Amino acid sequence: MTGPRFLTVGDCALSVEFGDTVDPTTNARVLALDKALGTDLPEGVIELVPTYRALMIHFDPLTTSLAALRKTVEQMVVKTGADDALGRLWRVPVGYGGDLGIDLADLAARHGLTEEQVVEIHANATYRVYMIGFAPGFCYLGGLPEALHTPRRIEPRLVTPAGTVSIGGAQAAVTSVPVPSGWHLIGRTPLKTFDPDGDPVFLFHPGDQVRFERISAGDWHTLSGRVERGEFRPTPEDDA
Amino acid sequence: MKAALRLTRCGPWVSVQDRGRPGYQRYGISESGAMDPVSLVIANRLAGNGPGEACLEVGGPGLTMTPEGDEATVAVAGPAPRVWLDGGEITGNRGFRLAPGRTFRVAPSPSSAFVYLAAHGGFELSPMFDSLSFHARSGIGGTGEGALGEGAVLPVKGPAGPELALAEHPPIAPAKIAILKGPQFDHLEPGSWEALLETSWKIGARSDRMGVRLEGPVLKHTDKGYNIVSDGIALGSVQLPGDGKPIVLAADRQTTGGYPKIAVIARADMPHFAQLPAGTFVRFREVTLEAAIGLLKTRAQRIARLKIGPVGRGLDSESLLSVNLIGGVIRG
Repeated sequence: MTGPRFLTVGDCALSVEFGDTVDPTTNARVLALDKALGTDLPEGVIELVPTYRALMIHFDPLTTSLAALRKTVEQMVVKTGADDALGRLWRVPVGYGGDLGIDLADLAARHGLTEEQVVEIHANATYRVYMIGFAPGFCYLGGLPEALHTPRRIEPRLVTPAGTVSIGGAQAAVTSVPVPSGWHLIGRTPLKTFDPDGDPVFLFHPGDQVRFERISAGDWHTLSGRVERGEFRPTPEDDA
Repeated sequence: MKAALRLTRCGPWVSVQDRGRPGYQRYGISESGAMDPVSLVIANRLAGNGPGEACLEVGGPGLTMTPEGDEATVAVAGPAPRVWLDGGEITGNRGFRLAPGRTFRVAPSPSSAFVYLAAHGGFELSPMFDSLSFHARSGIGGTGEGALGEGAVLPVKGPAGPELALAEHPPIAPAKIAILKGPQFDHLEPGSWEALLETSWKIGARSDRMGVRLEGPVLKHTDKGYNIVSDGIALGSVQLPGDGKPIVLAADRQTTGGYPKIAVIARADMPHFAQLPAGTFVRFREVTLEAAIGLLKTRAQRIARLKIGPVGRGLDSESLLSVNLIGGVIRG
């Protein structure tokens, strides 16, 4: 296993880059270092931001130095390796198509598939939460079957609803708050992946696994009401 | 009865800001915080507060407010704050003890972007994710009820306090903003780096707290292109999207991004850069990492030596008290 690249990011941040591709092994190394450093933040470190393939370390250069920080990380990387343990497995109910997924029909047509086939392919895959970014609780999912890889829309939409299950290029996502998006909206989950007043506030963590389960539009509305009233709280499966 | 500030006129660039909410970017929550954290600290000191208390960040065309309930002491700070008390103009970085019903208007001068208004004791608001800073795009922070507007009432925690003034000129912007090569510098054509340093860039009108747009020549990517696998973003990163028009990512920046970050503004100069209003021009100079950290140290020392004294006592040294402003100036 080759060592990471250290990229100086201005005078107050250091990026520890484990690769330049989206793959589970690279991401697992990022998360392993994040966990090891985060357990007892080195002096002067302000926060850690794990992404697909790199760990961003924000620090105060008047409290620590880039050289000291780099040395700490180099020693730690040797010990941590990759965090191969799979995260928790979440089963995420999704209402596909219609008003809940306005781009499903178009996306199916692009690929010469029926809507039914798209849903089947989408719901038969297991996805990995690579990172949370862009907006509060917005999770980037890897593991989208190649048959559904779709270039982004030319005209992004200014607002897409929270809970949208979407496809952009080789990535899939579940949105947490209304955001502008150029991705294809194929369905919605009634679950809240970000709930400022909830417990937990953020449903998914990087490294978690996600599977989508189709529900009818009627069940979507029923479940959405239960989530709103606080009567339904999703739990991950134990044996993930 | 406690004092409260009622906003009677409120421009679009007014928000509650403190030193931001580091620690939550891993969950997609932006850092936010004052665009000019140095002026935030000075406003707080002039109001008799700790350095990190939340203030009103006021961009043009400004804010008009009236204290209600009881007397309140407020202070304004910035490169060139303008204040009108019941219509009469008063300049300078200083505090004001205001009786209820007085009309207090504050705005940045045309040569700067923001003024900070602190209230003695701070504002009685509930933090979200450890901070009161308002993030417009997610609606997190501030009063908890979205963007500020006319009629908003901000309760003040403290009683009225003494009127203090900054007894020297506020920190002066450098002729050129210090900049370092960025983590994806190798995505930029060599000739474009020269262009970045030699151009007098215009601050674009579509700039906001999230990103400041630089208008000038189109910069070119190498054959590595303009798409990278998304990674983290440091404050002051200069992002180069596909159209070759650079954007400096500011306090409300997204936590991650997939465009190359070709340069990063030295943290010490970031408050000066953030104070440049749309339509003005900026030039950059390249510095080494050591030089950038040197600037940060110098800034901390200068701020620690800023002289503050009672309003109206003049600038004689006896009435001045030097206060320690170092704490927390680095962040942001």
